[in-house]
Amino acid sequence: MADLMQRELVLPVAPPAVWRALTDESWLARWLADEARLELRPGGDARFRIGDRTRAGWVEEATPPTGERPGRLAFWWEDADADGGPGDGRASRVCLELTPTEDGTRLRVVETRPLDVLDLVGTPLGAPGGLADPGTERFGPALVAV
Amino acid sequence: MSSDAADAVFDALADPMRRQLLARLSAHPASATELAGELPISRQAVAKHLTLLSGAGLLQRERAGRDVRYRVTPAPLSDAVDWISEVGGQWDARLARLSAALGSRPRH
Repeated sequence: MADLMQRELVLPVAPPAVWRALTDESWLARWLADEARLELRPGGDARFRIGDRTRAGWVEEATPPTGERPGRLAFWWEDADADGGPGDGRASRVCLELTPTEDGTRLRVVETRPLDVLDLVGTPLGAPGGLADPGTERFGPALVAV
Repeated sequence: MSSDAADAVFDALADPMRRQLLARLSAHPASATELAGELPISRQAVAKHLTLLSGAGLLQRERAGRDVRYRVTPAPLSDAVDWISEVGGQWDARLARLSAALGSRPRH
């Protein structure tokens, strides 16, 4: 089942410039959120204030583009309470991929909700601790890193 | 759709056999006996999965003589559709801003 949102566009600047726009907090404030905090390491904090809402989570991967090698920024986020605590528990994963083109950068954005991601990595869904286990409500880095 | 109802849908869809059953039933309604004849699991196991899928609102039961047949209800999936269109709209706006912000800079 497709619980997945995908967009792709070509930007007229080189991958390092796009990477800066995706990762620099003052750049992020120009297009993604009113205020952004992003720690560029696996497990680092990701927090975005968008109007009166806050989306918070953690960074899964932050690989800058180098030469022909694509760059990838992946983070998880969910609505957070005003006090910064966890929100409704419906976290989703955002993956931004940069690949160089002849005169710019192809940017691919994919946002997915957990079931599809876990399906893709082949998590045994019926196993204890898997998704069929009602006790499993949140998905941490260990599951994602499979 | 409430968040609990959405959870029930995603739980129901988490099992590969249930997804297979749903795919099979979306092609053509069938009874538990018919499904058990086509799939490598017992009628009892099929019935259990069908109960769970019905409970999540994904299947509807209908009488067919002495048998009960199941058909797919498309409605609950609209939660996923809503999510995809809402999130898609947000990214369209963000990417338009990003594009404008980057487009105004000289080419590198």
